[in-house]
Amino acid sequence: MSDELLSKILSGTASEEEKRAYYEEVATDESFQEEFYQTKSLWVRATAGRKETKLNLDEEYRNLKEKVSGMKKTGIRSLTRIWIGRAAMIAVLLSVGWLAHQLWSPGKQPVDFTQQFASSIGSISQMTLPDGTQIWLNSGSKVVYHETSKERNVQLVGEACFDVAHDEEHPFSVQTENMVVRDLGTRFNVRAYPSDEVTETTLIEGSAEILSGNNLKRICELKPGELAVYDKAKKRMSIQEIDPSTIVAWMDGKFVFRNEKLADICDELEKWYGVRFRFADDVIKDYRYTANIKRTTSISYVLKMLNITTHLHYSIQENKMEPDIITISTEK
Amino acid sequence: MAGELKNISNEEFRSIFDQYYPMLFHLGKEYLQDEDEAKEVAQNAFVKLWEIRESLSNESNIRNFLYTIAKNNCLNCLKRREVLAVHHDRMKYLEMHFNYEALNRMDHQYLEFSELKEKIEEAISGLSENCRRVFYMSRFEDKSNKEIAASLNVTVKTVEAHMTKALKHLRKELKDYLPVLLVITNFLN
Repeated sequence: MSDELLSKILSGTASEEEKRAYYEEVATDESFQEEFYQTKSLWVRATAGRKETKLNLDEEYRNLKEKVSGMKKTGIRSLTRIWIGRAAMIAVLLSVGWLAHQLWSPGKQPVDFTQQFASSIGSISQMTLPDGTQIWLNSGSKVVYHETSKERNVQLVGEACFDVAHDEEHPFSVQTENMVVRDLGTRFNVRAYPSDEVTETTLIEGSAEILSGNNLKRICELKPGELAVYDKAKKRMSIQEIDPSTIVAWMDGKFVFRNEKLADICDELEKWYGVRFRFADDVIKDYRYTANIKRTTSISYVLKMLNITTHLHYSIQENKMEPDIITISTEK
Repeated sequence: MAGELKNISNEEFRSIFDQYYPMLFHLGKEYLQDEDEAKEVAQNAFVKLWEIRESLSNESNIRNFLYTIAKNNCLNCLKRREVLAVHHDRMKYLEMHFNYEALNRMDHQYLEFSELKEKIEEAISGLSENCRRVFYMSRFEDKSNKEIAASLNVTVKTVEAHMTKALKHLRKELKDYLPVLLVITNFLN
């Protein structure tokens, strides 16, 4: 066993190839394993007093204070940088039960409980369930989490990304209007807005299967990088390959459009900015565009850019009680 | 933080934080290879400590508590990743598996740094000067082998050779302090 390889592994400088070679070799012999266990522990101890340059203790302490103060007991952490200036868009905690759970029974999970989370238009929220599962909730979405001694179930309206803490004894499933996504150790994104014609499930990591919402029969199993699109009207499912990073760009506060129809792009903008789009001519709907937009960009700036880059024109009808209506046309 | 603590003051809590937080972060970083998750681990341990602050008695109690929570958090995380990788990424699986086993064998004396520190210093002083400098830069200044090589005007290969030597030497000198298989100490008992 090479000492040089081991020291590279420990100091974090080994390449993927070197790591592979090292761990395969360790797997062949118990004495190598013992050597690794001992040397690793020694290394971690010997380096424990090092200056952690990447650690800002004051900031870390502030984070801790926020976590233990009553407000943050909710388990919802709004991504503040995304909704600067959008005061009304605070994620709302709906369940008092969850609060009580966090406050009075840390670490103990009740056998049977339910909690709800929602994020309003123009905001993204992130939460961690007691089992360690993380959920990111996109604009105007809601989840109801239900846990029993046997399983974990989430009902979803809208779009959310799940990073599931896998637990074979407590299967995790996400239920939408028409179907059920069952986790087999996974990170996946589900988009199920009632106003959309389709429900989309994208698998980012691991594996997951999709079941019919009616009889729980298995429809398909997804591989990482696959997108399952369910057409609600035609009741048909199709699978395509996709770059998951475009799907989950919303989590980083971005819109990423790749050669998408204007109608679909406007649909996405509607969900975030709380406006309605109209098209003077149906032909415009099928124009295709590629764009990256930060979600902090104002809608008027987005429209201005659209006008400059595409020669499409827009007019805004402001409404007091209802969403503003933006009409897009080819002429002024 | 609102309210008075029963047994420890806010200042005392902060000083416990300053003393042990970096070490818990370090533990997480070395085993999970992910700084964000390492922070999460350290934060979680202190949230738990905060929750039981009224029943805290002495420092070794606190140390054991923090270490046990952080270690278990790391173990859970490694186990989860191991399960995720088992069928489709053998290298990752092995890496997680061996790191899990290594951490599992680490005893609660990890946070009792002062005692071991002297021994390590002693062992390091037995290294050649160049070897010692390389080890210090890697250990205390958080520099990569490439950065060390550049600042000492030697090749990366030389730096690696020094690190290997330093590690070998430490292993020999500190063999009495190497972890032995321990039953996880339950701090509550």
